[in-house]
Amino acid sequence: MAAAAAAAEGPDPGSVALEVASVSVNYGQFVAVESATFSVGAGECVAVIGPNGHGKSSMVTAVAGLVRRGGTVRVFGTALPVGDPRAAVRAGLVLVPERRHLYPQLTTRDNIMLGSYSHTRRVWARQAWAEVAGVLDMFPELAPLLDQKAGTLSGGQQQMVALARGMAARPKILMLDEPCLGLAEVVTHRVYDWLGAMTATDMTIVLVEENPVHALRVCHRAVRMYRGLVEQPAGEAGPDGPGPDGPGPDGPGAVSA
Amino acid sequence: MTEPAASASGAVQPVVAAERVAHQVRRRDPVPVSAFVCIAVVGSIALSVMNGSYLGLQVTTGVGYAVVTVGMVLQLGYSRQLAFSQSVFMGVGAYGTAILETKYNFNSAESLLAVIALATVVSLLVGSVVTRAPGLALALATLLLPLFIYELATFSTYLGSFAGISGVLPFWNGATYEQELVRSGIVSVVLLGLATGLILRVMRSGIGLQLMAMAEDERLGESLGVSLRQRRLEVFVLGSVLAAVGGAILASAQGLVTPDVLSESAEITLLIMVFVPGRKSVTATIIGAIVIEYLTTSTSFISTNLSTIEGVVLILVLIVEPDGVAGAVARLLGRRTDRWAAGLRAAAAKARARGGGSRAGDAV
Amino acid sequence: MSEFLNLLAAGLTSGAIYGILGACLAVWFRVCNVLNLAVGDFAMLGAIGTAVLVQNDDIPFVAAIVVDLVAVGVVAWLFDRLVLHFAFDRRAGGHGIVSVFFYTFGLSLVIEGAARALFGTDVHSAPAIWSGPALTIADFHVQRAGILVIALAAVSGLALWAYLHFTVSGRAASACGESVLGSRIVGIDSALFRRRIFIMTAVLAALFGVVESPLTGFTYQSGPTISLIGVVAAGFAAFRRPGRAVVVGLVLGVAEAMLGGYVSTEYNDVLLYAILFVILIVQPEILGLSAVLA
Repeated sequence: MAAAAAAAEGPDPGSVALEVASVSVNYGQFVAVESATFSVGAGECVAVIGPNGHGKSSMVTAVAGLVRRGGTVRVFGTALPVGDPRAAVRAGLVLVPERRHLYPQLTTRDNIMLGSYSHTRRVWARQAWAEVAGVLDMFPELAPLLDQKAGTLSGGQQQMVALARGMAARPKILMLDEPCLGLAEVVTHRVYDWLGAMTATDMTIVLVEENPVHALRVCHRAVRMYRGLVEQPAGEAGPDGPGPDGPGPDGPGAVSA
Repeated sequence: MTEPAASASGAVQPVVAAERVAHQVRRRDPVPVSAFVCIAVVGSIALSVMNGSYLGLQVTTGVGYAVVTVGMVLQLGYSRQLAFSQSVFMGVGAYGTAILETKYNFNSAESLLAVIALATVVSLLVGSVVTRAPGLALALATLLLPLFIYELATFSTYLGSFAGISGVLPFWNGATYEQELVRSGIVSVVLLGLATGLILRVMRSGIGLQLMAMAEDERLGESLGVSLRQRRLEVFVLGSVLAAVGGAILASAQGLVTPDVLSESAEITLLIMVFVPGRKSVTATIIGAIVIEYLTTSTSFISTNLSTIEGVVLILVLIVEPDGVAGAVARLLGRRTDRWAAGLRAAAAKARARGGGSRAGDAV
Repeated sequence: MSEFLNLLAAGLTSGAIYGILGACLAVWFRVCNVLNLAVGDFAMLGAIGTAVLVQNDDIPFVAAIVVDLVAVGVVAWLFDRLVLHFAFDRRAGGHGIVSVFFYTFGLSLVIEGAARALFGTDVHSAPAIWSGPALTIADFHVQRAGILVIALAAVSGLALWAYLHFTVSGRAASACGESVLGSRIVGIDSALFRRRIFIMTAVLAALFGVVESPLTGFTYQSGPTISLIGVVAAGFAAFRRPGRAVVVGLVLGVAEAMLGGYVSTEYNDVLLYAILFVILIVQPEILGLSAVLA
């Protein structure tokens, strides 16, 4: 895995992986995200917490380019065009969406294989699968389910497929939107154990989670969204601040559990 | 008074509408009855003025189509039941009337009642099997019906083959053709009024609310305790019976039945009559049915280029305003009333600021 | 025996018509969950357009076919740009039942009207690609055009099936229809797939029209009827399996011919559709439709 390869170096504290500057999202008259500004350092795991309906999901889907947005999003310094999810995926910014959004009539194998769609050069599905089959090492429980239609899997299994599909996209930055929504306790533990393992690699993780207790088990710090605004931790808050908080990763003022 | 501006945004509208409907269920609802009276009175006066002219015949035919489209508003627009069998049931109505009157000497009232009963039974039979199939399967099943019923009618000598059956009686006899046409027209208009009142009653009742919930999400509706199959069947039967009544009106207005009433193009015309004026508005489809029938039979430019015009208008309507002309009008009016309301509020605020609140009553 | 074989040949020929149109409908439905009710009109444009180009404008046959297919592709592209783009890309998710039928239904009406204005109301048929008398073996006759039609149906059905099942692109196309958001997050451009496959099926339908027209002839009104039968064939293939749609189409054609030959020449269609109706009502599960609707 690309992510695992460089894991030995550990996160480089100097580089900023994801930089979100005054991102806003409107649905008609309704303002879902007013102005979200935060940045995530390479290798960091940041939780986005906040109550339901305060724009967390809208913010990450906008960052991934799925809905129209204002503001700028930079991935390792390169600005992403608005409304082009392909550019985000190619830059290594991958979203595992809320409620999974799998392809229920396709097999588990195809679901995972299509994660690699943006970078595979293969014509035949079989070859494309061979390239990404390695992700099964992380999710051994999916191996017997490969030929089953994704729609027939249980909620927990589907979540694993969604994670595997996300990993097949070779993310440098993985955004997970409520990965444990409506899942059993056992599955939640499984997902968080996996996330914990991922934080040890140099992959950058943005985790949207309503429940801060869960999130802070694995995350280095958290940003809180309230009424469409990202609330910066006390230390670095304030409109006079230098926009993107450069040395973000080491900010000790993060919400502490 | 809540703020009228809030009802303008799309997302809030269903909720507001649902609340309004629920509110009305508790009291006696005057709308269906007044709609009936309005249609019957205005229609009768209009037809009397036309005095049996060709225009009168066109309007009466349009009224026949309107009865069908009113049912389709409930079926397609309101409950989103994808059934394309209305032309077939128009055929049941039209052919039923013709056969009963020419072969079994029924008079027009008897045959109308018999046709309604027949359509109820047939639609119950067909509906109880068809409505088991959800969504697209239902559409497919009801698309198959016109395919073979049309061929059946064109080959069957009992149904008069291509020529159809002539000699259908008017609803109400008169001394002259003109008088007959006016009188039959009045009966048709009264039937349209009854149909409209009935549909409005259903839409504005608790059942209407259930249908709305089903249309949004069948599973949601089911979880709310809506009996899906029963509601689907009721909607199907109601739509089909109204289609049959519409067919009977057409047959009696024109004095004959041809297989054209069963053809795909008849169904296409009906769909245009529903979707272009506004698939959720009873008023719009009534006006639309009459106007479209008039336009297609009186202007040669439109009748030669009919399909192009229909297609372009249909696509434009769907892109610009899925709720059709009625939706566009409602939006324009809504915007205007919003502006008035905003103006009034501003004026009231100004008055309050000036007169210390004592003159705030001006704004009402 | 020879009567049976002749009926079989006739049935396969007309079945190929249903099958190809069903396959075109099914593959596009799979991508964007919309039925292309104008597919028959594209076939009509192919047949009549080529015929008119050859007869009136003295253009060589092959050039006429190419010009005509390009023209059909342009019409399809324009429709996608001017209508589908606004209906689906600019709005979140279209709007339910309306989008399934009515945009392409409108297109069908427009094409029909335009064809009437351009080509008149006569019956047209393009010249035969493989001309000559019917091939005869003993009492068994089969039209050369019929062989071409059946071959085209078999090849396109197989090709579409293989595309959807074995290629990454085909799997991605299926994913678009399963979940638009799910396909976009992995970088699949669902609008591009919708456009490409719409144009591709329109051109395929037109090519089929050219090949088939020596057998039946086309008028400006031919489109909706064959579209409808295509919808039936696609529907009996769960609306999304082009390979199976070709098979279903062939079976329908053969059944129609056999009913016509052995039961009643007048009522064969009535009987066929009545049987289909009963199957659909009594056993909707066998179609696999529940999977589409879930």
